[in-house]
Amino acid sequence: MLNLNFALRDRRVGVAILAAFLSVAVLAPLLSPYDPHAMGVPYLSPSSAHWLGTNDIGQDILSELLYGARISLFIGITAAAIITLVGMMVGIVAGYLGGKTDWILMAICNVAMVLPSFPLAIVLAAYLGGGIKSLMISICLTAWSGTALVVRASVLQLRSAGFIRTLEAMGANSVRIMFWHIVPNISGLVLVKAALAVCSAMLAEAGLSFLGLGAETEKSWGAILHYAFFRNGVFNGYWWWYLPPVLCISLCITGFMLLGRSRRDSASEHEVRS
Amino acid sequence: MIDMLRFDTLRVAFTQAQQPALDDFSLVIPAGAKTMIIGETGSGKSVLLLALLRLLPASASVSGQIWFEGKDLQSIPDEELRRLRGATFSYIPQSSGSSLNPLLTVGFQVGETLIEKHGYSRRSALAESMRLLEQFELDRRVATCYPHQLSGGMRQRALIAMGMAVSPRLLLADEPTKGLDGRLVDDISACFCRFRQQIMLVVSHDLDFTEQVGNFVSVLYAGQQIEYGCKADFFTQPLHPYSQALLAARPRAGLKSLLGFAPPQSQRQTGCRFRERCLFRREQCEVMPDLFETRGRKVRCWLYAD
Amino acid sequence: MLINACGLQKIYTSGWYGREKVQALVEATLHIQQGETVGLIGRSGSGKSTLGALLAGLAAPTAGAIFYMGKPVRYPYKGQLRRKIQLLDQHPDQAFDPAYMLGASLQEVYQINALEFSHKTLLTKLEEFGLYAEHLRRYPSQLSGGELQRAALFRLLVLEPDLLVLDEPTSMLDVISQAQIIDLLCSVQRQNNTSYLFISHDLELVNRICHRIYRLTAGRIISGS
Repeated sequence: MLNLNFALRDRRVGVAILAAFLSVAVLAPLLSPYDPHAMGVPYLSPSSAHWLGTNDIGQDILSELLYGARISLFIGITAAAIITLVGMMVGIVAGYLGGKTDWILMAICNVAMVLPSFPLAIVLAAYLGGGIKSLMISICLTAWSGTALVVRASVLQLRSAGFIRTLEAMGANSVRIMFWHIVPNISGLVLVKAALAVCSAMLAEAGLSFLGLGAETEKSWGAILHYAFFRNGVFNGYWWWYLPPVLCISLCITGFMLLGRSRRDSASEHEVRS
Repeated sequence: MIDMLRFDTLRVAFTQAQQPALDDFSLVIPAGAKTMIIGETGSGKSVLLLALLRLLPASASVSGQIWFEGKDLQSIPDEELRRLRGATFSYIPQSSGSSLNPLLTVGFQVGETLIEKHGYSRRSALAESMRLLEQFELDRRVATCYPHQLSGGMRQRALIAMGMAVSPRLLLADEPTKGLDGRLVDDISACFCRFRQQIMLVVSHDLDFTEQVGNFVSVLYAGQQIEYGCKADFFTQPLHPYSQALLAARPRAGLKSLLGFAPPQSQRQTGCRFRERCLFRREQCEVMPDLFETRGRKVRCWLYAD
Repeated sequence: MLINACGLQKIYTSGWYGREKVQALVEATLHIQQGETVGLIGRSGSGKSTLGALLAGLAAPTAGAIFYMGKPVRYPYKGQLRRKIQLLDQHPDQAFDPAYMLGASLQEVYQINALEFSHKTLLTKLEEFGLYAEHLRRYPSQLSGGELQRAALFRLLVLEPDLLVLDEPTSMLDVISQAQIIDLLCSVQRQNNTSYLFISHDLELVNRICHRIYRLTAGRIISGS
């Protein structure tokens, strides 16, 4: 018997991981032992009072970590939502309308793909001066192009499907077809791309924050790493400072990646037609 | 004739459906003769072939036995079955869009089993594929084409060539002439007729093709076998009311349409499954008839209860 | 004279700057009167589907003209004209959006064309086509070819077309479903005086149901009888 259930198991594991992180993010005020902004004795090693020690200005690392989940997840998920939505719209319009519209949109898309995204993000974030908004702009500016290309390819294939032709012959207008008929049929693909977009958005955010371009007061995991590195935490071997953020970022990304294990689209779950 | 393929009360049910897709199917398929299975969609004919090859999805439960050369195909280990598939058995699927790999050339796919199971080299497999394709009136150059470059009819013929490449002892074909025009159907029947000495089980609803190729005919309706007999008898004098309706619905016979429509799996009640549409319906039909034997043929209808 | 086509030609181009050309139709001239069934036979690849698509306004001819009720029409058909000429394809499994239930797809025709819709009238009309409430709640992948083709035919007839181009509508169906569809087509023609262009490769079938037959060979219409 054919049994292809690995994807299902992976998705369940992914959901479990993300549920854990999301609850931590939401319940941070309840879970964290200290106010992450409260300063105290710096450079303490892990102890019963501070499970992960303190950073260079005496802030409890565990509390930072728990509150950091909020920022990292927020930026990751929101950026991914923007990327996916923009990419999907561009892909659908280009693929369905074709002709000049397609040509123009693909030209823009190609430029976005070709630009080196990370250096551009650095420059942009530095220019716009740190903070969550500029991070979002930098991350989203070029990342939508990948989704757009894949969606466009899928739409091109769908365009010649019999039912689309029939709908056109019956008098349906383009907007109706694009919104009500094309979107549902590519939703499987788009959701997978969305999950993977979160991964790349979180990584991008971590990288930018690590370089010091992130939010100043509200620290994401990447920002924690920034201070760990630039305040000699790494040099001095304070593993309780730099290792937890790294583990959190990795686990979270793994969770989203497992979530993105592709599922069959609504239509292809064919019963065996006898 | 030694019987080489035998179905024994085969029953296939899907967990979601209330009624089984295939119910109490028993048939003996002799060697050297071609057996055709006729049935509409929903009659269980594709399920039959997939059950033999053990390629049904996990949600299907199969009971009963399928004997081939003395072995029960349902209970032999996976590895042994895999060796049989492609070498001893050959399966020609319906030519839906996804039956051929879009990324490989047709020539390669036709010769693929030769390379894998019979140890041909790439070059000799390609030569053999070209020869086979020519037998089906496809130009040699088709071997270097990709599936999307061919028309539906050409793809169908390539699939059949693929199935016949290995000269299997058991050939299974699922609707090989679906959607093809008359001349192509004739060509394909000629190819099938040439296939001797082996067992062939073909599922089709194309009556002309069945008449040209088959030696024996079995009719499936709503998951059950309702008639079985040799071809000549079936076409001159169909017994079951459904078979009679089938033959009467052909254009040359008058294009008479049958009232009503086959019941979906969820709606099958007890008793004869055809009685809603049957002109000869009687009270007796509330009870499921057995497969009665009469004059060397089998019919599932109370009209023929001895 | 309902529809009249003169010297239709269709060349498909592909490749860089349209280098590769395939001439699907060389020269096709035909006419269809109101209320008659005209057959179009030919082998696969003879251009029958192309001709059907041209007449239904789904593709533009490379040369030639089409006249509807005496007036010339050009691709793409708009408005009333688009409604009056429809095409039924040979692949019933591709006729409906797989993401929606059959009921939703059928309702859509009414919505697109701003026609009055009532669930009850829908069910009564569907009964004639052998479709019931339970079919409306199913997805296309759960319905048989015959059921889907009947639903597709129903959907087209909602628009009350004058001409239905039927591109091998029964080649994918079993004999009994075929007979049922032909029956339906005949009863619709009796009621509404609809014309049909029946494209097929089955000579016997076409002989039985068509008033006149055109034969298409390698892109040319050879005879009309």
